[in-house]
Amino acid sequence: MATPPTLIASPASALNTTTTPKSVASITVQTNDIIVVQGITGDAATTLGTPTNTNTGQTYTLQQSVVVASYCAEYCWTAVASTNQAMVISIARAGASTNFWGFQVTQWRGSDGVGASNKTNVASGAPSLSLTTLGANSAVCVQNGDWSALNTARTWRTVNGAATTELSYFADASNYGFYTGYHPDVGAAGANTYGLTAPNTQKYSIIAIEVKGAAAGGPALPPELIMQTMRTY
Amino acid sequence: MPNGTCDPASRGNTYNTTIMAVANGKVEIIIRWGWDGVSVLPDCEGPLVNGTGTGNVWAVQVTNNDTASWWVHTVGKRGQPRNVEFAPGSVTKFTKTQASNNGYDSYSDFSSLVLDQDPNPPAQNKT
Repeated sequence: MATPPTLIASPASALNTTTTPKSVASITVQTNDIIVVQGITGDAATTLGTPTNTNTGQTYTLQQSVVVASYCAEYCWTAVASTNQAMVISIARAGASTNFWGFQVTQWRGSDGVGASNKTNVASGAPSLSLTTLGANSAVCVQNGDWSALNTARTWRTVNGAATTELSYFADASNYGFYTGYHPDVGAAGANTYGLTAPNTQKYSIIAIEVKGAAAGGPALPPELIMQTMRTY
Repeated sequence: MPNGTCDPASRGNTYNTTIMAVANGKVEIIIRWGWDGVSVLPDCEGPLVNGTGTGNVWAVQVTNNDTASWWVHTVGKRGQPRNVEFAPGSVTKFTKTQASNNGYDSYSDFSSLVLDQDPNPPAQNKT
């Protein structure tokens, strides 16, 4: 058994513009917090640069990306906070200026680090991605971009008895579909399937990444959710 | 962004529909709008459009199923920020006339759409 990591904050950028750069509301990190940055653009012709932040610069590691023609481009970076500070994360886009884009940040505390990740892109179907988590009681962050931009009813997949907690969603039937969410505790280490069951004709790119829990004897955990920023930009 | 043009008819629809949601779907805005006949993706523009049929005659619907107030922050076509509060447990529907009376005439009045729990506009929306 391990203790799942705690979600501290989850700000998102604006999702319905082509503007660059974009930033999210300030987060206040502590040393060893895990920061997950999930970016999605409306098409692979529009790409994203590595995140930057105010105050002490953090090191963002690209864990997965999908940059395939005629799909949404996706990126997933992680950073381990090196100091206690407030900071604003920003991303600049490159390439074509003709696509909507945005990004989601989640800040996790009480984690032994980033674990497994996976990605895929599929021409038509319900977003589905297998991820074999390495540790027990990990959280898993999921991001999905739908090039078809379907704006019909959505249903997230269930893992460990609970549906994904959705963080941000945008769709307009013409530009893109932007989906981000997380599972707070996926249970025992092993394979699970992440994504959505509807809409089931998406042309999708999907990435999932594990944020490990804290093993027994690991870092001390805060007793409760400290803050969950819901502001989206 | 492969799906037709700004014209909803290119997708077999009578109007465009934009949906944004946060807070695990508890807070959601749906905007129905048409096409101005000249704009192109991704910067589509068009007037707000009412749905048809009993109970469906609205152009903008904001749902707040949370237990606290949420705000819809937007920037209008002339750069004016707007910040509208929606009470917890509410489903608010605006016809295009009602929306116009509140300063929302077309899709471009919803630029930089933000849903959050802060009455103040996000820094990026301030003039």
